[in-house]
Amino acid sequence: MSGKYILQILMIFIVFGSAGAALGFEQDDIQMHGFASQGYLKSTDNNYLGNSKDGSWEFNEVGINFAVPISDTLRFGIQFFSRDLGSYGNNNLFIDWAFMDYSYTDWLGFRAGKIKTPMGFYNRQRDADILRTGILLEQSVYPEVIRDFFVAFQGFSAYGSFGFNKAGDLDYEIYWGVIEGPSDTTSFEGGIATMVPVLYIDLLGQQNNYDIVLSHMVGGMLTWNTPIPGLRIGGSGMHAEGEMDIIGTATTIDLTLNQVSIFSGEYEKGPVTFAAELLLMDIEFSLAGIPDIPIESQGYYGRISWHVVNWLSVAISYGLFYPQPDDKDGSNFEDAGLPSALAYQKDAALSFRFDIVEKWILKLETHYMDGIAQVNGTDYASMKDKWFLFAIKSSLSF
Amino acid sequence: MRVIKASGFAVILLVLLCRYASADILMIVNSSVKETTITKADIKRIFLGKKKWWDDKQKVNAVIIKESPVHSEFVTTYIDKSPSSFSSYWKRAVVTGTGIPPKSFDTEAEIVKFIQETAGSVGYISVDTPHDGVNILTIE
Repeated sequence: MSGKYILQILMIFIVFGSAGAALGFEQDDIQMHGFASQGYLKSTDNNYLGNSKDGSWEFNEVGINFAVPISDTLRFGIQFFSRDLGSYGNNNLFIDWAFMDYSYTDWLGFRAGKIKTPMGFYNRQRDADILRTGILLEQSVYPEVIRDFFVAFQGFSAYGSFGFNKAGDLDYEIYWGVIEGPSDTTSFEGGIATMVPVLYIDLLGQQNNYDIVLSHMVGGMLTWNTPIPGLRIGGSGMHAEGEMDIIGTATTIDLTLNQVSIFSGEYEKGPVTFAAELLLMDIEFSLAGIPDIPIESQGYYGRISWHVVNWLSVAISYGLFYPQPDDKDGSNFEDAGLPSALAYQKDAALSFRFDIVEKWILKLETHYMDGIAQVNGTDYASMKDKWFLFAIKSSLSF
Repeated sequence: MRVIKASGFAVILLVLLCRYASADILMIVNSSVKETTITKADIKRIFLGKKKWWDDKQKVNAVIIKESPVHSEFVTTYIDKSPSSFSSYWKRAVVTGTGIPPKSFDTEAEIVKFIQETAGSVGYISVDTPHDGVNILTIE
């Protein structure tokens, strides 16, 4: 089912829903919120998430959202969004999410439209800097280079929460949909290729825009909010099939996300939060004339955040990402004439968040990086295995 | 004997303190709400947006007080979150479209007035706040 057809269904919901509640609709019911962030990235070596080696201001997000309760059971919401992160986004304005939400009972509700994908504990909020202590979400589990696959889909979901009193409660969401449209990545070099250099080389280093169509996408997320106060654990997964069309060429790559899963744990005790997640990906690229390229990537991290006082929070995290876990030391990459450091990304980060006033925050962050997986570009000879990344960012919310 | 008396006094004091701590907050509801008791689990689910309906299918309309000692005590005791964590929880819902935060008020008097006038509404106040015209839920 095409995305346009889904949006037509959504519009029908809006018309009927609005007509049914027209008599009781008040302007005061509309809620509007937003956020804006601007940051700066600087690396000692290697370009990462932009031209960070020279210093990059291409690092911002702006979002504005509206929530419209139509009746006790029906509401509509939409968020307009613009972002820039190196070659990603380039401040194109688009609809981040827009859906009708029908709540039947506590344990069953339905959404239809463009919906943020429930994947891991932090995927849905990945673009809102105001919601975390750190600047960069852990790239070992939430890599920006494949953000297009996970950030949102057009389709339907069913969701709900079961309360078990002394056993806590269970939240779920299952979905079906499609991902369509041009990637917000302007360069192939900045996208999949940085994570899968072997794929890039097989395509002879072409740099093109690409359109992604992921159809037949199904997935779900289950979270157990345990009876231990502050402890929740969850699992999420998806399967999808589709293709990537390289614009300006006759090249189409068949893409199968056999499975993408994230297992999550979070424990909040007073001002301290512990979090850990594991990403498992099994993706297959198929291109006429070359053998199928299976990618089984793995990433995980652990993080501790401490809300020290009202105006200060600190976080430390350590993440590891392996594009090909059966080659963690990079010997296969070396055999293929590539640097062994392409086989891993080890990222130790320290973050400070200053809440200047209620709706204005400033963050400082430093990363010690070991490995060049996910680094931009293919000039491997000039890359350093061990390097630092510094980031500063300021955000407003309303 | 002295040790037994001291221990007994300590136990009584502890019980009184616990009763005092739990009696700082009153859960109040509109007169349309049929429930007379509520569990801590249901309080948590209501104010995290997971319990949306009373038993008679009337919509739950939860309200909160903006940053204040009674709000801090309420979210810490009944939601198992710090005030900043509770605020972040609803900011996440807003940014992702998955929920609409409870209406918030500056004073407990405004809370009481809203609950007097709004069917299905539920909120919390300190025990000393006048609350004519609303029902009290006993916390189980």
